[in-house]
Amino acid sequence: MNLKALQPQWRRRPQWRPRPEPLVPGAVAGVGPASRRLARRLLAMGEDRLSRLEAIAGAGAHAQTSSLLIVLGAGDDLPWAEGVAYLGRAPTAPRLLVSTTHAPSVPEDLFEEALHGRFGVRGLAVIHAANLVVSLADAGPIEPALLKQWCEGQA
Amino acid sequence: MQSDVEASSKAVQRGVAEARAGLVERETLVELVALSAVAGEHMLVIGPPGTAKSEAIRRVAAGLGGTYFEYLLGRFTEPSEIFGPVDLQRLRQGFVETATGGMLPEAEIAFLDEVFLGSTAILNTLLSLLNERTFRRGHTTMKVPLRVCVGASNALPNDELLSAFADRFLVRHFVEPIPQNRLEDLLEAGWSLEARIVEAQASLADVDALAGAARNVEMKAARPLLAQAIRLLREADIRLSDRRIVKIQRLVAAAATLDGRLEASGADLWPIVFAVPTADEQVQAREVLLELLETSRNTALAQAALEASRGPAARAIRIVERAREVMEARPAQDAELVDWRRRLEGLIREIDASLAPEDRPEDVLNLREQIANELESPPATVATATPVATKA
Repeated sequence: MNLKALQPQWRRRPQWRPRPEPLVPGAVAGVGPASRRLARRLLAMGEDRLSRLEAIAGAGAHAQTSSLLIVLGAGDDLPWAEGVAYLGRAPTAPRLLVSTTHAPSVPEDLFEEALHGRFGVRGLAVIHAANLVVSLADAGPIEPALLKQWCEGQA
Repeated sequence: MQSDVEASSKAVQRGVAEARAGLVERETLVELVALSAVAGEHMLVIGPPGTAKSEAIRRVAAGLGGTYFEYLLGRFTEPSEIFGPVDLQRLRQGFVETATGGMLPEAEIAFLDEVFLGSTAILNTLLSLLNERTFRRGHTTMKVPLRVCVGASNALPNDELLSAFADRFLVRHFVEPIPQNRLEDLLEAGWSLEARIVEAQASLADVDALAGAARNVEMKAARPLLAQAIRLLREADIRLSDRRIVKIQRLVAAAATLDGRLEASGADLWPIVFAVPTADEQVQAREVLLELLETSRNTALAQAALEASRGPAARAIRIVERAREVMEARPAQDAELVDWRRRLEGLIREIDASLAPEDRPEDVLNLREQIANELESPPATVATATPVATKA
């Protein structure tokens, strides 16, 4: 469940403003304590629902991202935990996961291209509140034993 | 707001809620009928057969307590089938009058299915009935008690004359078959719908009180915003007739009244979307007016306001409404607790995923806290009685 998370060095950091219409959630992200709460929710979930989700977890490049967990799946299957952020795909930037409630102050298609150009990988998630860009390349099915091990390791 | 008008507003809200209960994806339709009745305007519903149009209208009539007339028009429908037969007794006296008992001229709420299939004779009589609330036929001239007529059709007419008739229906609502993700809800609701009797929660006196209050609503703040909305629509090549533009004010005033206010504001502009004539133009109108309708809200007509505006205020009201329903329906059986908690999780996920923190009003924050506390505590089990005696 290795995760590559980076804090981008913005030439001009985009502002994030509330969207007029929210995106349909396709993922949920937890950073720090929220990631552990999210992991515990997943571990309490039934097998059937868990099998429909994928996840990626790990630590970020900086101290403030001590733990990070992103869960991918259909909106109705995504768990809730206090402090998580829901991510979705904007119609103009379908390869990028961004906040369902906030949009960047730059056109999202250009934002997507700029990030993919900068990080050299397709399939990224942006957690704007933590200023993190995460590669989803290694996301995969959730193995409860591994998730539990990860969660205990983050405590 | 005067206490009697406030009481009427609450009664109509209860009537709408009663009519909406058990319907799937038809809440907006029910709410728009109530809006049209208070505004004194008529409504057209366009959608394929079998999409619960007539059921929804019937339930609104029952919820609001009006006398109801419904008819399915065909190409060979005689005027007497809608307006009543010739009064034979009066005919013997040399007068051609219509016996209107139980027919459309005496209805307070009416539903005409396949309305554009009516003959010229029917449509001509309907025109004055809808416009002037006057029934004229032969020697019969009478004022009708009609508050709202809902016409339905599979599609908008292409014919110019029929289009002119269709323009008399200010409110337009387009319905589609139930989407995939709500099929289970449709099956469950449809199974229990027939057994569910709608009880009148209001009366036409309440509708009339609100209609009277709506005519006196202060429009000063809303008018410039409405003009701005019309200009934005024109820039997008969405043309509304002058008659339609002026009458939209009645919908705006009715929205304010149903939300319990004497002064219309930007929060009440959302009905303009439903006055746009075609489905494609309504979709376009929502996009064009997105920013202008951002503050839309209406406690009585929450779903309609949300559908028109997609704004956070309307979204928050709708979420609060659903959250309260779920919280009040805490199950008594352990076996149902899991499903109930799953519904709570769905609600709090919707709050967090669709409302930015800065857009969450106090009632949403309070409900969110209640739901979060419930989810973060272990599921409480219902106490079961321990048998203290066994059968001999």
